[in-house]
Amino acid sequence: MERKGNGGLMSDNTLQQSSYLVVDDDEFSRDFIVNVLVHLGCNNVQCAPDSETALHLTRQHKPDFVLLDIYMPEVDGWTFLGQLRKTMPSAVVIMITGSGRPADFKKSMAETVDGYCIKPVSPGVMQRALEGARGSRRGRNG
Amino acid sequence: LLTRYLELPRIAFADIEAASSKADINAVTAQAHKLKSASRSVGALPLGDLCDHIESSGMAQDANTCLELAHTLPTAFAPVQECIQAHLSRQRA
Repeated sequence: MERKGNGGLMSDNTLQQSSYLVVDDDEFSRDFIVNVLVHLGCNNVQCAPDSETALHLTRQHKPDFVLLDIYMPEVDGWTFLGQLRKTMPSAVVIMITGSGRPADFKKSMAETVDGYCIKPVSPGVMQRALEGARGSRRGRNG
Repeated sequence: LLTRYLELPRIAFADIEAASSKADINAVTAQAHKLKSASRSVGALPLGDLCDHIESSGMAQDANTCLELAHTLPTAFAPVQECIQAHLSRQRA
């Protein structure tokens, strides 16, 4: 058990040893999510502002977790998810969005998404989402 | 990050003002989308919702609503700015 100086978050270091890809067209939002991950002790984090860069990084680094925005210009999160699943079917994918629309949640859950977070995402919310999504993916992978 | 956030609306408002004067709805919509995402990230949810309405009306090509709502952004940002500045002052003290 490892305790960090962050209010007792992250009781095991499995998530800290994982790799992450944050996909969001907005620079501030990307940096915010990275900050939350780093606060949790997750330092292996890469970022992409669009789906093309994200796919390139995915093939190159094979992240354990992909944290994905829904509404992006050009290619949205759901379309990217379809492309991602062809190359990395086992990646744990969490939608992180500012949208509280039930339709967006339903559509995400109908796709192969493992978790769903509505902003603002605190470290505690992020940790629960990561743990929950990892469990959900394990279940899907059998 | 909060200090950085405070700069974003100022830039966005200037861009929105310039776009509004040219009735460039697409530019207003793009700025609203950006500000929506950042605002919701820091927990400024009412401001994020307002940006969402601006973005939605812009995407629906409802220029009147889009521009009308865009003009209310500085007023909606004022309490957010006050709250963040107070928080930052407490942190510095």
